[in-house]
This record gives sequence, C-alpha cells and structure tokens, in this order.
Amino acid sequence: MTRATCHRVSETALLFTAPPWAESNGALLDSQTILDPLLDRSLLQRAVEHLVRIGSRHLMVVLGDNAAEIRDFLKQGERWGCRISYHYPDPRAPMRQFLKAIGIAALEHYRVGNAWSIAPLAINADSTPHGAGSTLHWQDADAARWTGWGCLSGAWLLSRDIPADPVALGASIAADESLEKSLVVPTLLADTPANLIDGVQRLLNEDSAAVYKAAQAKIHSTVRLTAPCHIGRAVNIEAGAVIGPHAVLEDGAFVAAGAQVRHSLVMQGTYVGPELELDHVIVRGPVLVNAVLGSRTEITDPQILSHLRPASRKIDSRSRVIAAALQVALLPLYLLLRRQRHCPAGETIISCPSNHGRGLAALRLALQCPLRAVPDAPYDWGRHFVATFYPGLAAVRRGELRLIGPTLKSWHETKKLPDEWRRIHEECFCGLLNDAWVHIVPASGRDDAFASDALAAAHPESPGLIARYLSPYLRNVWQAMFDKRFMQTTPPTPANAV
Amino acid sequence: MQLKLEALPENKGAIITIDSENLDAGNVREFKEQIAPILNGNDVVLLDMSQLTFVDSSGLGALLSCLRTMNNKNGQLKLFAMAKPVQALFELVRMHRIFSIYNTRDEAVAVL
Repeated sequence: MTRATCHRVSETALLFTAPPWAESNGALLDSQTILDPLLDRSLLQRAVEHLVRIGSRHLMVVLGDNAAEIRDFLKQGERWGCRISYHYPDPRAPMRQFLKAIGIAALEHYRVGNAWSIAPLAINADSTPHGAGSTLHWQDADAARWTGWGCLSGAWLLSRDIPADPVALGASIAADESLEKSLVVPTLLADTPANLIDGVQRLLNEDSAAVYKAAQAKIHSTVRLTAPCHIGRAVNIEAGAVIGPHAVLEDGAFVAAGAQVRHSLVMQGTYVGPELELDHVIVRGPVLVNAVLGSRTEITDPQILSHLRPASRKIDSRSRVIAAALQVALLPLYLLLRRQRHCPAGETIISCPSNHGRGLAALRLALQCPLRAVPDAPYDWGRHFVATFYPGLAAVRRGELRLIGPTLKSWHETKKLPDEWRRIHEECFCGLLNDAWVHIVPASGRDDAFASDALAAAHPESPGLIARYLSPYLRNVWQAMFDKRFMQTTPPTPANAV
Repeated sequence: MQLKLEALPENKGAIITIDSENLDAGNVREFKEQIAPILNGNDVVLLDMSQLTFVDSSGLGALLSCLRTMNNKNGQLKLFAMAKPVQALFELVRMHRIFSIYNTRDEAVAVL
C-alpha cells in the first residue's frame, strides 16, 4: 500500500441516490425507499446528516430515479447548513469525464456516500487521507460488498474508465486493490428487506430501547406494547392489538383491533386489518414483503392491507370546477356536433388506477370512433371532442377519470407497452384537462407518442396553461362544424377518413 | 424560432442556443428543420436550453428525435443550462435518465 501522497479532504462530498448494488432483492425496495420515513427520518435525510456531521459543507447529489422528489426534499441544503448542488449522471460519458465536468480535482480526497446505506462514522474529517483512499465494506454471505461510503482521492476517481453509475463504481471499488478497505456493520442497509429490518432494529435498540410514541398517536387502553417499538405521528392502534418488540409504525398507520405487529416495519399511511399477524415483514399499502424469504405479495383485499390515503396525484377540486364550467360552456357545440350521425357506436375500456389499495379498476367510457392524432384536420379534432373530450369532462368533474396519452389505451393494451411507457400509464393520474389531450401532437413516430404520454404524466395544470391549450383546440373543433365530412350522413370509409 | 450556432473549440462540434422561450407545437417544425442540418454536420452537439421556459409534448418529441439522430450516427447530444420549469418536466417524465444534461456550459464542454 503506497502512502506517499497526503492530500486534504475536500469539504465537497458526493452523494449517490441510486443504489450501489447490481440487484436489489424484494420489489418493495424501489427508489421510493430512500424517501420513506424510517423512525422519523428517511434514509436520504440520514445520509445527508451523516455527511454534514463528518465535515462536508457542499454536497454534490448525483440524481437517480425520483429526481424531482429528492430535489424537492433537500432543496438547497439550508436545513442542514450545507450547500447542495444536483447533477444528473451522464448515461453515455465515462465516470471520470462526468466527475471532471462537475469539478472533482485530482489533488483532493472526497467523501463519497450513498443514500441506500448508512455506514458508521468511520470516515472522519481528522484522519489524513492518503493514496487512493479508503472505503467501507460489509461482509455479505459470499463476499465483502461496498457500503457506498468511502473517502476517495480525486486522482482515483478521475482515472477509472467506468460509466457514471454507482453500480459500476461499486464493482470497481470492490475489485481495486489500491484502496484501503475496512469491514464495518452498516447502521442501516436497504439492499434487502431482511437487512432493512435488521438495520431498523439496530437503530431502535440504540436510539430508544423503550416505547417511542409521537404526538397525536391514539392507542387503545387494551393494546399491549413491548419495547422497543416506535409509534409515529397520528398512528391509530385499536383494541387488543399487540405491538412490539421491534415494531415500527410510521406516521398515519392504522392497526385494527386484534392485529399483531412484531419485528416489522409498517410504512406511512398503511392500514393493517383486524387480527392480522405481522412478523418479520415490511408493509407499504397493499404490498407485503417477507423479510425472511424476500418474497413480495400484493394483497388485493383492502380489508387486510391497504393504503389509507389516496395516491398523491389526483384530480383536485379546481380541475373539477373548470371541467364543470367547460361542460356547461361547450354544451351547445357538443350538441351541434353530435347531430352529425356518422360515427359508429363502440366502447373502449380505459384503465383507471384507483385509490385505497383496490388495484387497477376499469372504467367504461363510450367512444364512438377510434381516434387518430392528425394535426390540422378539423374532422379529427371534432371527432375527438365528441368522442372523448366532452364525456370525459363529466367524468373529470365526478373525479372518476384518469386518462393518459394522446391515444386511448385499454388495460390490456397498457400491459403490452414497453416498461418505461407502461410505468407512466400505470402510475400517473391524468384528467382530460391536460395538454396531451387537448393538444394532440402529430404522433407520427414513437418519439412523439412517448413524449406526449410522458408530458401527460407531468401535466402542469395552471389555469393559464389550460387556457393556452384549450383555445387552439376549440378553434379546431369549431372549424370541424364546417368540415364537409362532418356534414355527411353516412360513416366515412377509412379511405376518406383523413 | 431562431437557432444560434457556435463552433466548439478545435472544431469538436457545435453549440446551439435555442433563442426562444417556448418549444411547442407552434415552432417545433421550424426547430426540426433548422436543427437537422446541424445534427447531420456535427458529431457533437451541445444544446443551450437557458432561454427555454416552456416545452410541450411536441418539443419533447423533437428533442427525442434529435437524440435518436445523434445516437444513430454514434454522435453526442448534450443539453445544458435548463430553466427550472423545463428541468422539472424532464425529471417528472424521467427523461433525465435518457439525455445527458449538465448544469452549465462549462460542465458540458468539460465532458468532451
């Protein structure tokens, strides 16, 4: 081991928000995990606090999934007295180029952290770093694996030809013999459900070996509590429930009468049904992960396990009011266009993600014609208005409809989409008052179609934006009234449809 | 819509500044027409997004088409200096995982 070069530790630290492990066991451990509160604080918050505690004043956060949520949570770092800058890993440039671009200097050492694990305070600011640097590992069943934490020299970081991706970085670090490696037991590790449960139990034992109860928690007098356990804000525990040892009920959880929770983690806003026994499991809404086997089950009966709160994105009252107002204002135009009797009757089933753990429900919406996105063709705008926009407004007003994309898709069609698209369709809640609907793009290619679906997912719903999209849309619909095909009394053939 | 073109040092490629606040259905055709010859003539293109405050689905589709064009010829397309609303949109639709995005022009140039 060469110890010739001694450099100072920079006050700038790198914090990766994607996991440094190639595979994660247990589907519950998605990117949301680092933002979920665990004993009041999320893994991400703990990682930031950890880096600040060991002397970092500027955190370069390398964003992964949930970039918007992470940015929204950490903001500029004022809360922790540090400065935070955000960087997207370049999917095509090698790691060294990416790090050089964001200002990593060869002559300094940098603390590197990862929000998926919290290593003990072993990398302290006082130690003089030397050589390539040091990293913290833990002993897995077969090999020592990187925790995601270390103090690495800029020269080392800038010399490795690996992609800007924490998994590749982890593999490179594990294989590099020039790095000083220390074996530790991480305080928290979210690579598998079992490790997450173990980490939470360790924290429970260290932080409060008693029963911790936050404000507004309602616990029935017949509930049996065994320390250590953590009961978050506004948790409700009903008669006869048995809680602990090592039970964590995060904010807003509801444990029904007679249920038992031991060595388990009940995530925020989860309903645990009556007489249910949870032991060594993690539950988030209807999803149950067995920490011993690593298996995942989704419970379809909301009486057993479900989300108490509706999903975060839903059509708000403002959208409903706008929908109702539009419905009234556009009624004459709708009736006029409806008088044209050339559209064949039909029905399409639209997938509709529902709340309260019931999974995906289907909503039937009568569609009179299959629709295609053709720009500057009043006939198609008119068909769109008659077939989807106006009936959809009624559904928006009732808060029932969630549609996405410029082309209506049934549940079965959605299932066949590529992963990235399907996720957008399944996760997002969109009403008809979104730009992709009102402003159909010429979906001539895959890129355009994807961009429309993706934008519909984002749907910024400011009244100004809605007005901006509505005005050209309605102008086109108005022109449809004078389109000769709308004046026909027989259905147009495919040949003359456009 | 006007695109300002600037050559990168040592003729490595081009920096394009989109001189418009919007990239939407109203100007996307013009954008595609203007950018096509630049993409064809350069292996590295950096897109200065600092003027843009609004991108709609047509704009996203056009940017994806640009990326595909560059990928097909093993070229590089990098975006930099995104305004917050555009950045938020890219994050929401997860396009930050597809594009190479840098905070500043210097960062984008340094990676070449």
